[in-house]
Amino acid sequence: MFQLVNGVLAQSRSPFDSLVSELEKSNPYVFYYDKKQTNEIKMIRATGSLDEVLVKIFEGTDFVFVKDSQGRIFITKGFSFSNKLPADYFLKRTGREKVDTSINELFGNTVVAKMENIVYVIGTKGGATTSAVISGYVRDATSGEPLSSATVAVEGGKVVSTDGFGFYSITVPKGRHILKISSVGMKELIRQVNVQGNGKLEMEMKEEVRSLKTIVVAQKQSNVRGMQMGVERLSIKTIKQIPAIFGETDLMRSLLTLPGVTSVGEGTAGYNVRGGATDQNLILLNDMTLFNPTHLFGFFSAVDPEIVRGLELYKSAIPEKFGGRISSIMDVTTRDGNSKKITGTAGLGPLTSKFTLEGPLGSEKTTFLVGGRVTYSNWLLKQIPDPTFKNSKASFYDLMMHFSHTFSDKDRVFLSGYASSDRFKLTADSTYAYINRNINIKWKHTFTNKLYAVLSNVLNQYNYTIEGRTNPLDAFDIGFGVKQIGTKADFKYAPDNKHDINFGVQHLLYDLKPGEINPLNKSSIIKPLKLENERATETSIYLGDQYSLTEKLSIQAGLRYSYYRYLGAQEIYQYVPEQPRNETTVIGSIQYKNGELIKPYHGPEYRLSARYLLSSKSSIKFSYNTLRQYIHMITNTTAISPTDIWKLSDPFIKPQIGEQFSAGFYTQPGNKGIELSVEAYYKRSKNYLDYKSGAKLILNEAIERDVLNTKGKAYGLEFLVKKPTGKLNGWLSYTYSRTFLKVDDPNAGETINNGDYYRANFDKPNVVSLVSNYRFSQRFSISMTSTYSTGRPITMPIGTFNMGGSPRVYYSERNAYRIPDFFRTDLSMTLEGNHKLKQKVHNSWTFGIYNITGRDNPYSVYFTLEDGAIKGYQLSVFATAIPFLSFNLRF
Amino acid sequence: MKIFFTLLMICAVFLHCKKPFEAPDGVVDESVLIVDGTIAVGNNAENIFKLSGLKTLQSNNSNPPETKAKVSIVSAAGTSWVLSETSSGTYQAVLNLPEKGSYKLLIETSKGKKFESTLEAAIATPAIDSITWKQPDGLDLFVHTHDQSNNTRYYRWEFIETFERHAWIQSELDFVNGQVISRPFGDQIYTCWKNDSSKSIIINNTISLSNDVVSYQPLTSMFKSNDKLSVRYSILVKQIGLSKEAYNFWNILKKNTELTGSLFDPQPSKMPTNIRCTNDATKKVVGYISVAKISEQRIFIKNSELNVWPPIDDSESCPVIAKRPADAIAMLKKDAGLLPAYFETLSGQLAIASKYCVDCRLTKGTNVKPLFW
Repeated sequence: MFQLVNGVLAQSRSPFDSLVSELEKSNPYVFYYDKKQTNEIKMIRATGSLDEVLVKIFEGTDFVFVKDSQGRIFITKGFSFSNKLPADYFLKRTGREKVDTSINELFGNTVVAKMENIVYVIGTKGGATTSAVISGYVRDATSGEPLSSATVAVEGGKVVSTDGFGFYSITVPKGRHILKISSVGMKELIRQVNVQGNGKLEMEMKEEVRSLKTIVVAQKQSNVRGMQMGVERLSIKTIKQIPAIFGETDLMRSLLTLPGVTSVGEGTAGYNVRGGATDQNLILLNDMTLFNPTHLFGFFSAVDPEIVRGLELYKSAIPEKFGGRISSIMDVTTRDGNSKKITGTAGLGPLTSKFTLEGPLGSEKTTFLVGGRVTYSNWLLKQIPDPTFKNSKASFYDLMMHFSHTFSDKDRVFLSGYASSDRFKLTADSTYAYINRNINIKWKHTFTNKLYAVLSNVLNQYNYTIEGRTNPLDAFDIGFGVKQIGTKADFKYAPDNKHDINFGVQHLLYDLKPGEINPLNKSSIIKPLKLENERATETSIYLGDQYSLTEKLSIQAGLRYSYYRYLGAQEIYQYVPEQPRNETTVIGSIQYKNGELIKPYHGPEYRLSARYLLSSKSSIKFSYNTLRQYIHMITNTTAISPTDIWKLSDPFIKPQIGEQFSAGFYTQPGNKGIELSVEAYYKRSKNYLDYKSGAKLILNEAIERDVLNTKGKAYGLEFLVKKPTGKLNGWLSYTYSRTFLKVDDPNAGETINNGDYYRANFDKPNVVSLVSNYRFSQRFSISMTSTYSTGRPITMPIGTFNMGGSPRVYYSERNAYRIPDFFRTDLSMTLEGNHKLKQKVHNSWTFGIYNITGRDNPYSVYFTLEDGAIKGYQLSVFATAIPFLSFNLRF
Repeated sequence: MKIFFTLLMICAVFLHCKKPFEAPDGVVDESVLIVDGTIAVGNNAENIFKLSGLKTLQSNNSNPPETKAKVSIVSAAGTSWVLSETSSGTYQAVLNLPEKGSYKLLIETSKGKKFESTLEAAIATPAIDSITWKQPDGLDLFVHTHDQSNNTRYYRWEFIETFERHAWIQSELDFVNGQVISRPFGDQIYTCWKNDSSKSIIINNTISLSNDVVSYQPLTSMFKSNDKLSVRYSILVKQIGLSKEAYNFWNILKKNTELTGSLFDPQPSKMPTNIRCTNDATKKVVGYISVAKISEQRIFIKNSELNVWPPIDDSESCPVIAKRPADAIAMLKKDAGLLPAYFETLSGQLAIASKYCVDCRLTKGTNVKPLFW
């Protein structure tokens, strides 16, 4: 038999030639190859099918083979060619433009890489450049949903992550590469590519089926190589593993297991990040700002976890595209919805029921996701024996909708809407109600595979009302509301493999109704009072570049400049300068017209960070950040209460400004995927608000007379050991941190603790947190979490005296004492129904015990006058082991 | 706050999670002077000031009185009225301060520290319109007032209750030197009167109302069959107009004492004061000296005016032992806790009972009828 390869008649036979003749005899294939190249191939013993034999022989070499439908096998070295014509080959045959592939080429073909042992060719040959850009989406193979934060790594080269849309873009030298794609909970993908020019590569990942026998896969999302520091990512899978009170999986509560995140008490709304106040955290749900993200005075967070893909918490090194709050950004993203079939979940717990439904609408191009939750917690309130509470009622719901539509490869549109409402009546005469309403529309446009833009419009709204009807003569109705309308354009540009550039512009309009009171009925003689609406705009531009200086050193430099304008109509009092502001120092007032500029504030925000790789398994990072915040929560209670209001910066209330230095060391010793990190930080802030004694916070026409500007400083050290994968997974963290505040403005007329630094309410020096999960089998796993923290500081009574007929208390300096330490351990077990793929309905049961040791952790300590004597009490919220059971369905 | 209470209730029901908390032993801050009192203007107005120091929470002693101080009220014109120490730490005088003046309080302690309150104009507190009561089940008392000129706006009330109560067993006998004798007229031990005063800080303001009208301001309430109302009850309400700053002081004092430390309560506030030490800046003062005319009104409520208010039945705790007089006298001699009650008319036996059931003075106040009764 003759073989004509490259027009040369083969004359001498190499061992490979002999093998080919053998294979041709036993298989209906004809081989085509270059004899000069195949001479070097070493023969090894191989048995099995034709493919198996070839794979084995070519293992570790540059040779690839392609089979076609006509019984031909092509063997090539160093490159591969597709055995099919491009899908549009015939369609665009005539008049097809010649494209200069050396410049940013639009994607021609999208290559869908589905197999591991096939080399996919990307782009078309030609062009003078030596590197090319590959971009595309990484999706979940089952649901078709984009996977964010998946890493795409070129073996021996660059690593990038997918963004919130599951989109990645990576620059590689032309030629053959092996791509490794990984994402938490998904099976690692390995794809061989032959990059000839710019092109698009789509990949689908399958859920990792963990079995007892699989070897532990090494750490995937490495904290070592990544640029970011002070970022915590929790996937919904992890969040669900954390045992929760009453079995209600809770996003906010799961944050409290992370180093650097604390709260003032169990079951309270709000959290403190690295010594920041609760109003300094921005909570985003698909880019919509949630002003009150909790239900039932903070017992539950107001986002149904079933619709959530995961959350990211930025504690330091906050990307320049975020702004507006000075302590942290919590970015919660929902899933896009299954694009392949309609699926849903339903859950039953002792306090709430929830459901989700998702799927394609018409075609794969449009997907929807709807999730909701309602409560029936009234029964809990009915247990109160006191007759004054017999009419208590509490109800809440939350509803989330998300739609996405793909117009083309270049254009996608997303629409999200969120609504939550709480209404509770504690006694027969007062009703509290608050609602969140948010809507966001987003358009993603891809210009080239190096540049894309996201344009979005958002409306965020939060309102509350209190109705009181104790006495018909002063029955009242108090209302408060804040509204934000925002537009932004964010761009991402990756020109080559050294730069990753983000830039954009954002504009926010604030419209705030600071409060009004009205008589509830005709017999009420309440004087109606409506504070003037506050209006302001905040415009920011930002530019940031992540630049790889060398293989080991990367820096990220970002600048955000925000310009805030406080606008009329408003009447602004004028005060004697350098004097405490009160009625006696008013020298007049100025009436500003509608839309007139009253006071601008503006300034730069710096976002700098650097990473240096010490080795392939360890790195050090540094970051410096400054942030500005123009909206303030007006509250003087220890925990956030549902009646707290927000206030915009005005001529007297300056924007809060914060800065943070942090440094960290990250390493992955061994090959078990264990990750160790240490981060240290030092933070300063100013213009945080505190209040004068006896200040009236709501319906105050001149709140500037009652506020005190507070300076803050905080520092800490966070240790974390994490094992993200394996049968036993979880993390252990220890944090040492301190937070101090200081009120020493000589012109305020009042100081706290003589103007010295004092401990903040949330200063908890030692916090230890353990989150662990052990997977016995596919269907059964056990989770345990444990938390220890130093007790929160309180101001304690230190003496008594008689006045007004009774003993009264005399207090220590602010926060001079502490309540007892906190310790709690929770346990939960999840049993999943069988995993038969064809089964229509999958169910799971979760059983758990909250506070298994039954320790009566102090929620608060308070002092009260009883029978003419001062008595102290310690109150615990969940002072005993509380079992819970919940049931979930997936279909 | 109510929310907090609900949480507390929920958890108390389910989990019994409220437990006493022992505050750490405090060290008394001896630099603090407590001043309690109001400069009362008008005719025959009683001015009382109590001066003391702090004590720790754990201490069972009373607060150390500030004795032998020189206390006086000084007008804007410099006229001075001296108060005298009537008991340890209590300084008082009945004065006729002109209603239109401004006054301040001067204190010089025995250690030579001088204190002075801010000169403040007297507030013309309006008269009390009425004191009313409602009996939904227990009894609730309310005060009503208004200021035609809409000037007062901030109010504080104090009250003194006086109530008549009877011993369970009426006795006209006494046991003196081993003899049962008739009680002399005017030495009765059946009817007693007792006083009680307001324990909580009662304040309110009408700032958010279009008129300076206070209606249905709660004063106090009693559970059904409270024995304060077993016979006849009286309440004297004192109404004091406050400045905004003084109101702020009482409001903080009230909030600081009545409920603090929970998560939904404000941090305890620093108490403002209008008193300062003029010769030692380190001395701290607690108190706020208001200057005002004090309006008063008294009402009476008879048990018969109430809708079903039966007296507390003491028959089980007050058994009567009727014996032959000689045996009864022997018992009386042996046990000083017993007193003769009456002679049974038919049998002639002498009924004796515990002295607590016979002598109202032991538990129910004094047998001296108040002048206004």
